[in-house]
Amino acid sequence: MSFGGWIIMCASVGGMTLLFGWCIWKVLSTPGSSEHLHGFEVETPDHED
Amino acid sequence: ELSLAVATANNYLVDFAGIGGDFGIMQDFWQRTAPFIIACFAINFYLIWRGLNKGIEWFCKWAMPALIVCGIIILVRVLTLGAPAGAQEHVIYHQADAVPVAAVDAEAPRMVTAAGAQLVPMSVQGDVDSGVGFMWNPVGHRTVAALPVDADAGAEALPDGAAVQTAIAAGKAQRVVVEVGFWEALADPQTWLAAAGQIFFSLSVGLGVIVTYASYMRRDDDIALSSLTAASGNGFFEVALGGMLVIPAAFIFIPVGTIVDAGERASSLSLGFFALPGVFEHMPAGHFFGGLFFFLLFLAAVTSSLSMLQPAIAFLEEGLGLKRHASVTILGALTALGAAFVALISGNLVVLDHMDFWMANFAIFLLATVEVVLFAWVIGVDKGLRELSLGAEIPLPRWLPFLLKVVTPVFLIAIFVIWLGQQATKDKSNYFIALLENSTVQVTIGFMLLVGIFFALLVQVAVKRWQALEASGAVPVDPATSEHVAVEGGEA
Repeated sequence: MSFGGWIIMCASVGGMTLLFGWCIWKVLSTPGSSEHLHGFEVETPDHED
Repeated sequence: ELSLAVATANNYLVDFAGIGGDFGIMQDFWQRTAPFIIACFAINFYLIWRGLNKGIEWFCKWAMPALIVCGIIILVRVLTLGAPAGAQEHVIYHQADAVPVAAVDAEAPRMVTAAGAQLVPMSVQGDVDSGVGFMWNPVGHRTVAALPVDADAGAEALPDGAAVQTAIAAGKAQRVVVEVGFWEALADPQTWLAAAGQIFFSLSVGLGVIVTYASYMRRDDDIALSSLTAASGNGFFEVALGGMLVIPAAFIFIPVGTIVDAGERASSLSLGFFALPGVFEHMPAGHFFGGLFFFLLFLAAVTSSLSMLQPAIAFLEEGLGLKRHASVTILGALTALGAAFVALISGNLVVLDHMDFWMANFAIFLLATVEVVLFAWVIGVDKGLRELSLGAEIPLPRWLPFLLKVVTPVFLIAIFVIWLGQQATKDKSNYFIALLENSTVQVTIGFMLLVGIFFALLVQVAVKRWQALEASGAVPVDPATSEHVAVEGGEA
């Protein structure tokens, strides 16, 4: 594996892991944002309101 | 020579999918393939019929983190494999002036391409280091047709371009894997088309599925952080796990020509099924981890197929006024017809390959481009971004409107036009030439067109029915905007 390969691998894998980790942290640390689980129910939310 | 586990997986997939010839799937069909097809259909349509999708979404809330943990365990095993028994010895060709003479493999023949370029062979041992390097080194790989040079005949006996062309036409040329430079690989529009098709497919953009997801969001749901989390989660699985796991494992256990060929046809789906059994073979409790990994992948696939079925179910029920069992029956019959067509005409997976290309690469790219143009230029980027910022937990970057309005459409249209131009000179994996020459491909495209026309007619019926409902006052319409107004406290 070349030096350029190491650079690209670290930037790609590290970048995606950091971004995903930050998103998960943001979702879990924002009150109420982690429990908006929607399935494909017969009624869409605008009908239920 | 493939390792026993990889060869077994390869043979099983060939028999399971009937790759050997049309109707090959019928051999031992009821013992081998039928139970899985029937179970897959039953699970999907039972869930969508009962509307139990929320249950499976809840289950996936636990199953998907489990998939990450399972993936990381397998990743650790891949990165500690070294050069296991059954590892491949690859020959990769280079431009003659690009490698030192001492590195050239004296055993394998030099080659000449139709363009007259001389290629020299280098041997590469399939191990973890070269596998990870194959994935991440800033070079590209492609297959080219070439003729071997007779080593004893001297330089004057080199075949010229015309001789190679004649040999290719006569089927006497070999296809070899050639390493190309970073910029040459990046300049290939096929790379960008495949990348865009992949990301649109895995993020469900351009399929209509995103409309399904949008229907189940409340007005103040956080779209910005949700979509960034979904996109980064997808990127983490594909780049951090897939890029570190499947491709290096494939380079260790599978001939490099098969890997590059799969990449060129943008259908590298089967690589994981071939390569990972080689990893599980070298793992403690390999059967357990292999079974768990593919079961969790199956669950992830079920949630995707449900989201693809749901728009059609909603259309049949709301557009045509059908009851749930009727809509599920009609869609089930249509899906069974399409699945039977793909499963029965299975020789070399020509039908699946062309359906995959025309729908999951070509059409999805076109439709995603249309979606971007509609969002940025017809609906209006400002209006769209106002909706996006409602309830958003993260600030939207200032450059987003410019990106959506100019950069993305120009980029997508440019890639598409350059790619179309490239097809005029492409000799291999050319889907346009196959469309003109291969009757199986013509029937496949005809089948897809028929399904499209059928749904277009249904849409026409639904529009007339909807207009009649509006005229009768059953669906109130705002005369100023022609849009439906709020019903019983709901949103417009």
